[in-house]
Amino acid sequence: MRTIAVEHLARVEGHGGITVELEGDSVSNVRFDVFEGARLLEPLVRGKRYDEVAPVLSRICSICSVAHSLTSLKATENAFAVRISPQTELLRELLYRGENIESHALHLFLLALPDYLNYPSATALAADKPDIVLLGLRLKKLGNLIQETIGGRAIHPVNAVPGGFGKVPAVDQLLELRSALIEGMKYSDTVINLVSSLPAADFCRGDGVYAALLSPNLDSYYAGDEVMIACNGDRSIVRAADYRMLTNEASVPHSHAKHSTFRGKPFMVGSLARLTVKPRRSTGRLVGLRERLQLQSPAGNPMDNNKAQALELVRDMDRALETIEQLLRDGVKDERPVGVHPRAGTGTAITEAPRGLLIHSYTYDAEGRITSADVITPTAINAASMELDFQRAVTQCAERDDAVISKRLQMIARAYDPCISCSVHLVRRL
Amino acid sequence: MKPLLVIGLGNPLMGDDGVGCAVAERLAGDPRLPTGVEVIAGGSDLFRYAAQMRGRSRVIVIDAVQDGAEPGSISVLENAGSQLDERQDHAHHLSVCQAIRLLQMTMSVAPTLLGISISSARLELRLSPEVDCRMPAILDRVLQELIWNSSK
Amino acid sequence: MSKPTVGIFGLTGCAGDQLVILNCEDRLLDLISLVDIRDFLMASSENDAACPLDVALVEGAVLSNKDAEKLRTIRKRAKMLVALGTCAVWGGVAAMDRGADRRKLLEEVYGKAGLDYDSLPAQALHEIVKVDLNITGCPIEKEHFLAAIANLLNGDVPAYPAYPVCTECRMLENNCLLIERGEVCCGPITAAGCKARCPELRVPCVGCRGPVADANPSSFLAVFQEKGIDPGVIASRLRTFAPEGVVQ
Repeated sequence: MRTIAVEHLARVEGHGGITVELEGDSVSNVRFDVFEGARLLEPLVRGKRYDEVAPVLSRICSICSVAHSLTSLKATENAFAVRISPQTELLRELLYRGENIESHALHLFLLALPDYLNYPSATALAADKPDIVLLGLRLKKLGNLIQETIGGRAIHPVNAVPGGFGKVPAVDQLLELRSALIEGMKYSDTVINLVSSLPAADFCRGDGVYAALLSPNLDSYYAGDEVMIACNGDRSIVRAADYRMLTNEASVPHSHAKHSTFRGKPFMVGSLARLTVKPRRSTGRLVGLRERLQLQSPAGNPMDNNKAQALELVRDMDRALETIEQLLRDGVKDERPVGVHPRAGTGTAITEAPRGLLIHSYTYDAEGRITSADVITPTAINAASMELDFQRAVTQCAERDDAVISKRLQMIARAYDPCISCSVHLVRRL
Repeated sequence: MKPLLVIGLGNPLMGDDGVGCAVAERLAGDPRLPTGVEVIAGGSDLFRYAAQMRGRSRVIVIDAVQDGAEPGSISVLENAGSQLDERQDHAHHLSVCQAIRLLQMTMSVAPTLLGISISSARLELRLSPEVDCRMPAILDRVLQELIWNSSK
Repeated sequence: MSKPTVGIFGLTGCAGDQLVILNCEDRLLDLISLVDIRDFLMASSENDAACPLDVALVEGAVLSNKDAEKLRTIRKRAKMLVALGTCAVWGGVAAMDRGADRRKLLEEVYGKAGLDYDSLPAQALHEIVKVDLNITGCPIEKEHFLAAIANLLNGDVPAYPAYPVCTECRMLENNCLLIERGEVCCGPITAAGCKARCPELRVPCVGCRGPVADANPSSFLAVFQEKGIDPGVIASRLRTFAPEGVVQ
């Protein structure tokens, strides 16, 4: 028996590793190992009042703290039947766009790109090709500026509270964002050209199953309470309240970790899933991006997630600008958060974090104290799909060179953009 | 086309052998069941329901299977009639497998078999703990099939 | 003179403080020209895991024996150990209830196998090793990090505010959420440095930077009792980022 192991996965958020065991030419065991300590935030948050929940659970992760925070608020608001104002919804949409821009810029330029260009790190890449890294940092900064302006802080957005926002941004702050976005959008073409010129990464192919939020608002990351699953040409819809049906405990002989499957198959969430599940006809500036990036059709190559992120990065700058223009047209109102009246009940919210579907489901007592919390993160959902793709990559690798295989496994892991701190449930039983 | 039909088979007096029935009973009361799906908690004879199966868009049969897999794990067979005899011992050995074959020959319906692995069937009125704890996951799996189907 | 060697590490946490370092964006490239970053797993796949370090920055709390061992190894390698962020300085959110029955919680989340996990109640770094400098925050303020590097490069040690958030808040001429609105605001006992960001946004302080040096919790509680607010609510708030018993 031969083992290929990546002990400490570098250039990902959190602590993880990959283990592949082979008997001869066939893969007998594949594991995506998570070494992240158990912080047990879900049970520990029990008993806290509803206004304390989001600040604690946003600390599950720093890169997607906006997603955790806003999904948490959405779940609480669902439980108490709170209706937020249209302006609050627009501001939350804008916050998501900012987060996505920042997260994708960070991931693409600092974490994933070095692999394609054969550098061990972004700093090494920066020494040779500073323009590329600076572009990534500039777009990351733009995403952060949006989050700081609307959320009050780039990491752990304090301005978002149950029912709305502490302080709505002023018009001149929105105008500043508008200019920054227009500046950033001048680089859209450069991003697409750069990513489409990268060497092909075609070492892992298979039938893909994908899941994404089905939103009534175009490609929104925030609004909606249904999940659409795509498998070849077929589409199925699952309601948010029934999310456990997708994150069920599948019986897997070599491991007892909770695996997400649909009809027995692992599914992928994230940028590639979002673009595959509900492809929309692009308009204006965004026409032709898919073709330029040469996204495989039908989808089935996880490495395409990097390309999909590039497309979203460019598109989200456009969307953020549209949202700001709408806010300015409608006139920004100095609203306070709407009244929140706690009551006993359960609320489930699903949104799209940069890495994919994020679910928060809470139960409250009559005094508004949380009695149970369930958080399912995109990285936990993706674990089963990652393992399947590791297996495919090994099986499809013509060379017997362990170094080649190891690099491919790492590239696949990075393409999924795992956020291991988030994967609170995903711990291997060894 | 008549709506989708789910038939759960088994003998509830023989412990895990009755898992198909148990699933059908719980499914019938599950709020997640898509509208228009009919559920029958049957006995051990699939042929008895031949008339109800006619003219359906799809028929799903749920039954216990002894195939050496971990108890509670699920396998889905689209072409059960031709596959089963070669490799698996069915808990309802002759009846389901022959019934499916015959049904395919005499009617246009080709039932999908959703097999739930069990380790043994004993004279008792309940499911074994190892299978019982898998019931939520089994229900989820069945519902996924139904949801997939209702979108076609 | 050679550049000081630096290592940046995360134990168990949300990686927010390491992210703040990456958020230095354009100043990041200046930074890496001034120091020699030898070990930074989040950002690089070529790391020297054994070389001695002039400065080691560590975020996150100790949640396992593995974390503790890793911390001790880092302490041996480094001339100076900096605790980065509220988890490292105080224990942070993972330390919300150190008295809880941990085995029960592990079993609840992970099933029977959870009982075998290497999992300890959260501890701040100074409860395991000697710490030379604390930079608190959840996450840390970018400027505090850059000031720390600038100071250390000059052989100096940075100074952080020793007064509570209220000082910064009043200087911004805000109305007091506690006194004037009766809201549960932890400003009076929380370390300043954030420029009262949350009260400035009309959101009560949750205390994420941990307690100020001369915090007076009993007096703080008395104020709320006068206002008729349930002491349980305050207790819950106080425990969220820095548990009792984590004395500096």
